[in-house]
Amino acid sequence: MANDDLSRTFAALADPTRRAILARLAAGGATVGELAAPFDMTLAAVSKHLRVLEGAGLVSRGRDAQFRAAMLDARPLAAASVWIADYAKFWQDNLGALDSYLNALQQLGTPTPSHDKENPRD
Amino acid sequence: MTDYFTVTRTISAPRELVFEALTKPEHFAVWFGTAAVEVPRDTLSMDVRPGGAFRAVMHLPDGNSIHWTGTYVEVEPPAHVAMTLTDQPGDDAGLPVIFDLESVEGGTQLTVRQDRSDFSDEQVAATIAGYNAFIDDIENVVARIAG
Repeated sequence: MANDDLSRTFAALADPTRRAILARLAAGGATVGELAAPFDMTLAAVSKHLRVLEGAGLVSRGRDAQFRAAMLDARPLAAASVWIADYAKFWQDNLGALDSYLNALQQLGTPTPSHDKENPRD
Repeated sequence: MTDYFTVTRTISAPRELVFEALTKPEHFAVWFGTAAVEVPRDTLSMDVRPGGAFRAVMHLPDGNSIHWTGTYVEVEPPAHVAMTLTDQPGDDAGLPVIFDLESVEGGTQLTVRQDRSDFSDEQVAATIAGYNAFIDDIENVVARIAG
């Protein structure tokens, strides 16, 4: 996947409304009206978001001129899975914090709520 | 690529204590999100059993908050927890985050992973969409930790 495509994918994902639209489409295709319903947005605004998602290849539109149901195309998401490295970073940081916390806890010798019979470690 | 990610760390504490830190609010509130964010104890609710609900509010240094919700999928003390986690309440929370605890010399090896192998593209998309505000804010949080 070219970097430009990846950038388009990320740019499309960088907006909470568009992510919410994708999450909705993950449950099945929907018309602009159906997509607009949960948001305080005009149909035009939703259409604009859909065009960005279409441009990133994340959404395809039906041919029916009147409804043009939007469908999720998850392929760019799979290709953008490197992005998931952010999640790994999140958990790496969390495990570091957990480690520090448990070290401090044991050094203090503070009995933990349901381990109060356990002797504190040096 | 079947794993989104796998993160492993050996923690110098007995497995039972690590499991408690993962599953008891009084511990979880302290470390979750790292020291850069605040998770008030009274926003945390952890019903640690299969089907039980998880809730937490994370206050970020920039004044924003992330509202996490999830569901415990598998709970096998003190070895294994699988739970979904999303910051978009009401959405499909996607694939579970899996915690595996193994006793090793010097403490406990904790592995955190999310695996997409058994899931459809639609579920994967729901998972990615489910980390909504988190994606917006992670860089800020990480920057604070680094700084």
